[in-house]
Amino acid sequence: MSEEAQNKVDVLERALKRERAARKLAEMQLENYTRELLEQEVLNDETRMEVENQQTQLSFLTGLLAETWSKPTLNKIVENYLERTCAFLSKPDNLFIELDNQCNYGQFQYYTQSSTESEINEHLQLLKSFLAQLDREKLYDLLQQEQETQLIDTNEISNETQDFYQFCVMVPLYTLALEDKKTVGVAVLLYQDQQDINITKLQTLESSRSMLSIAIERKRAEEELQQQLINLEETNKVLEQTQLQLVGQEKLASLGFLAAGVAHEINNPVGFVLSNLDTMADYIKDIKSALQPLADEPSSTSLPQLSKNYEEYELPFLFEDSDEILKSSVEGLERVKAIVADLSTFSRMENDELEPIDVTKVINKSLNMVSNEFKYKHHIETDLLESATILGIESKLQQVFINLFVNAKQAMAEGGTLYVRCYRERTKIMVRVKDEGKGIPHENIKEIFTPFFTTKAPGEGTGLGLSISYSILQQHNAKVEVLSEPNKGTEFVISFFEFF
Amino acid sequence: MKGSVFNALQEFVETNHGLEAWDTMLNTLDLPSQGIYTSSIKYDDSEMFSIVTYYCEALNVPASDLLRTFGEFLFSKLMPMAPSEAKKAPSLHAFLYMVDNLIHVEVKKIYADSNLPEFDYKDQSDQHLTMIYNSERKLCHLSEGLILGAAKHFGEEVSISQSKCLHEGDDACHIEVRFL
Repeated sequence: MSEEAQNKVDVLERALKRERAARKLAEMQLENYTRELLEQEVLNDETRMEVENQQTQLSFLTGLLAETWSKPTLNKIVENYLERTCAFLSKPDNLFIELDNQCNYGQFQYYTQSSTESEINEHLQLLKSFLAQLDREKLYDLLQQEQETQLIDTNEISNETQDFYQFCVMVPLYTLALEDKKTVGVAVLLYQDQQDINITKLQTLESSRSMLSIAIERKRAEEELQQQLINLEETNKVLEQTQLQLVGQEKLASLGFLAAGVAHEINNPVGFVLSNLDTMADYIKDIKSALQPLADEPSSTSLPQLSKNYEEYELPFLFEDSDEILKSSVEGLERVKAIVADLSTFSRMENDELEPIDVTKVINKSLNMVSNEFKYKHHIETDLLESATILGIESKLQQVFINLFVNAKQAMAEGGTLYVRCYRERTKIMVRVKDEGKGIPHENIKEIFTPFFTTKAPGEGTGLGLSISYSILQQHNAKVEVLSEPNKGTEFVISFFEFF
Repeated sequence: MKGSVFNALQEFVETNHGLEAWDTMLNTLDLPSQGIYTSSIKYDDSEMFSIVTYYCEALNVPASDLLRTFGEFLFSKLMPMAPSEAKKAPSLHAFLYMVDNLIHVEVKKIYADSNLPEFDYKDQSDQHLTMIYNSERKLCHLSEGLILGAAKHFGEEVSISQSKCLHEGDDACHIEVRFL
């Protein structure tokens, strides 16, 4: 071979060597890429699984959160928790136990899930027997020592050897201290096999715990509040009844106050009607005697005797006086009738319907009732409308006026005049009740309608009179104004809407 | 610099000067890679400069001419690897605009470690385009050759000059492309 040819071969050989080496490098490069790709794929898988895990955990947490807040009662929250936890951890049977410091069960709930009913029943039986064999003191102590989720051997908290549930995870849900009683609520997740325990998921569970505790505490507080509300409502009911009784008593009190006067008022006519009747009995006796000849000898012969008797027995006077006596008796009884009628409207209170009534009439009736009180040292001056119709309740309004009149009288211990005026002012019917009494001290004016406010000695007034009057007037949509000047007198100005 | 450029350079030398010319160069320079170039592997830039310097001396031509001629050749090797959108470019102008905005972006996706020159575009009109070249390698003349190769590919005539050049101490090379 020529040198030139040899050279050429050498060049080619070197070129070939380089090409081979370059190919080798390329192949190695390819292998590296492939390996990297594979590793990346594995990494991707891991990341995807991680993401899926996190997604499950997140959906567990958010689901639990959302549902927990929406549950109406503590029991429902716990039930939801057991159900969700069971689905999330997929394996365990769940128990919820509430224990107090005496290790008594407050309550408990089971939860298990399975596709077949027989398996569910079987598991429920197992849960029940586990609960029966539970060493409550031990469990309570454990919960006192450790406030966080813990994994323990089931035998540690059991009185008997457990061969079905080997492990349990205890999730303390809440601790409640009520007076001297302490209560702990714990979820117990029971596992047959340690392999089933997923630590990551348990960590998620643990992280849901604080939120759940808050929710449970809130719910507890809410339930307590609810209970307090019920108690309050009951108290309120009692108060309302008491108030009703007091209102009744106030009416009785004013009735009692009036009774003496009314009795006098009735007694008077009854007294003179009685004496009238006595006199009438004597007159009848005299008339009988004077007419006796007619009975003995019914003929014209008795006429002289009769005319004699006519003069002797003063029959003309008897007849004349009898007319007088009968007239005054009727009048007396009419008065009794009127008083009794007024009294009966006053005592009739059950009606709450507003109806057209005549204020003038009501004022007159009320004045009748109290007139006896004003008989000696007091005067009453009235300036009333012929009639003034408003919507109201006669008996109640009567109570208001009687109360105002009686107050006025009491304010004028030394005597004085009560002025009662009733007049129209545009669409209003105004009633002014004015006395010449000692007046109300300025600082007391805003208190006079306050229940139980009284300046009277204990036992003399309930302090309800004006407050009841005020509420009655409010019921009548009436406005009240009080004008008072010490030692000059007090005036109540009441305005009603006229009813057309 | 990627092995593919060395492969192209080898092909360029062997085509124009024969197998021995490449082999002699390798025997003379004793490069770290021993002349074993695989397209996807990155090699030290100094190898490229050594090779270029060697041939400039051996052939007695200025580096700018050699690089420009190689650039034209290199274009024909790179064009088949370009993204299809670039291949379908309607004109040389449009294509040149895609170099920085599309082609280099795609190259970066495949070779994240590649050290590509940067182009800015200025004074764009139908007749004229300024491509501002910036690279620590200062291979502006190779770019000129690539532009010429592209012009040939699109069947257009251009004249190329540089108003500023890194080799003249400027901040960047301003390659003025005039479309004739």
